[in-house]
Amino acid sequence: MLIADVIGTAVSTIRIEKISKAKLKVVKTINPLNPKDGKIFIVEDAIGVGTGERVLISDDDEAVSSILNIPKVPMRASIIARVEKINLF
Amino acid sequence: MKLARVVGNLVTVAKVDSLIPVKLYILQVLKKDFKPSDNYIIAIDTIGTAINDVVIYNTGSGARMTELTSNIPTDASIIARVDEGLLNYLVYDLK
Repeated sequence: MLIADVIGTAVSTIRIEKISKAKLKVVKTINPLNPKDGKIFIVEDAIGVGTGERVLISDDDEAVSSILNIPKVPMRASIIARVEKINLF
Repeated sequence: MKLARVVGNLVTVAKVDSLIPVKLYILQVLKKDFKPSDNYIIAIDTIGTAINDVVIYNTGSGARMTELTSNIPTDASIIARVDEGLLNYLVYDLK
């Protein structure tokens, strides 16, 4: 799982049937150990977050299908929590 | 499976229901000589580790094969704590 900031929404009108109800967000990963790192992902949003929020993403296909209750869903990453605080010791 | 050191934890709100009872730790991935690298991963603690422990974590669908994580949409879990490592005939105390 990775930490990421939501930087936008992806709007798509033509999709395959299976993912017609999924909300898609654009996120940029952050690395608490190296601030220069960051990759852009499109992820499915399971909890409903807004732009600018810090979230936890799970990068696994079966995780997405268990959240959406759809077997063999053709998506791979999902927002699973909103991050309130990062504690580094 | 990879080696990592527990360097922090994560406070989350508004999460997927199955994620409520678990602890999320920030792991700093270790290189092959047990030195810390720049990479990190967030993993679910299944065995009760503490900050600064060296652990083994598992990624991918194998992360959901433990008793605790079978219903959790995770892609990384801590599966073991490491006490010492042996490399080039040198014993490294990782406790």
